[in-house]
Amino acid sequence: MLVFSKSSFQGPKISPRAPRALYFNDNVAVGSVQHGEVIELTSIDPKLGVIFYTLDVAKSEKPSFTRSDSACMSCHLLPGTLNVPGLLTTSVIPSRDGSLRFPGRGLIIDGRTPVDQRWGGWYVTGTTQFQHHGNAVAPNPDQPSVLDLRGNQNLMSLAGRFDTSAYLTSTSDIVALMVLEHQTRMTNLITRLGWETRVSIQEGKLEESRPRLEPL
Amino acid sequence: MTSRSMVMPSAVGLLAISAAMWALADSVDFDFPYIQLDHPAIQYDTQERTIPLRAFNGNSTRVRRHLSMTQIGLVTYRAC
Repeated sequence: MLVFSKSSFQGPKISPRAPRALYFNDNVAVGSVQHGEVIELTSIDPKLGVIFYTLDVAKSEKPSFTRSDSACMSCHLLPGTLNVPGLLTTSVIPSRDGSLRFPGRGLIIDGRTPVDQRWGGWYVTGTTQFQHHGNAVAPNPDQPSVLDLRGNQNLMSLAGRFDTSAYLTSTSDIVALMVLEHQTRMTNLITRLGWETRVSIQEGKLEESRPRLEPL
Repeated sequence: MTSRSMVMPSAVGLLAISAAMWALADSVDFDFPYIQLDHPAIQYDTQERTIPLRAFNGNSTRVRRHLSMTQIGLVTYRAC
């Protein structure tokens, strides 16, 4: 998928003309920014949950993944990640250059979020009967919360919006986005359940905690 | 064309979003207390990890690896 809002620690290099690419499977997610200094990675550990790494893009004899918890957790350890190091997808209101009209504010989205509130700041290709916020910007600083949705729905390709030859595909598929959003929520819930269970066992409070843990 | 019919196309294409909604959404459904990362049952920073990237790092000093992208965009690596 491709995200064009400046909502990453490499934000200054991200824009609608140079979106950040995200790739993911069940265990690992990779973020890549054009001319970025590092490749961003998350890996899911069965006990610890999400762990954050970077990989320098500069060629090296011994490339290695470096844990980058402190840089990443300013955004990835929040009430919105259930207060465990977790994954996060947000819908924001971007301006023409991808900066946020309301810095620090975004709607955390997951599988429960209505489609018509999703994907602000993301490129979205594929069709849906619902009007979404993808591909759009709020161009007028005097009306910062007004997204211009014209011509931004049901795109089949992003060619013409930026140089897609720098990316593996010219799409940012709506189904992949929905899978990611479901996965982020589930990953955080599973991590939270594991952490709370281990803490309860260690403190001898498992029975006391059971009513709270079972809904998770 | 009436003034009403002139307004409607713009209303369809431009969507105003209440900033208050964004602030509210951040606080909904997230009633989970903070757990210390260094809690004895967690040890987030020091616990032994069993993750693919750690295995990669452990081997990187002994064998050379080649990172590549598959056609569907997944990063793979192989010893070479």
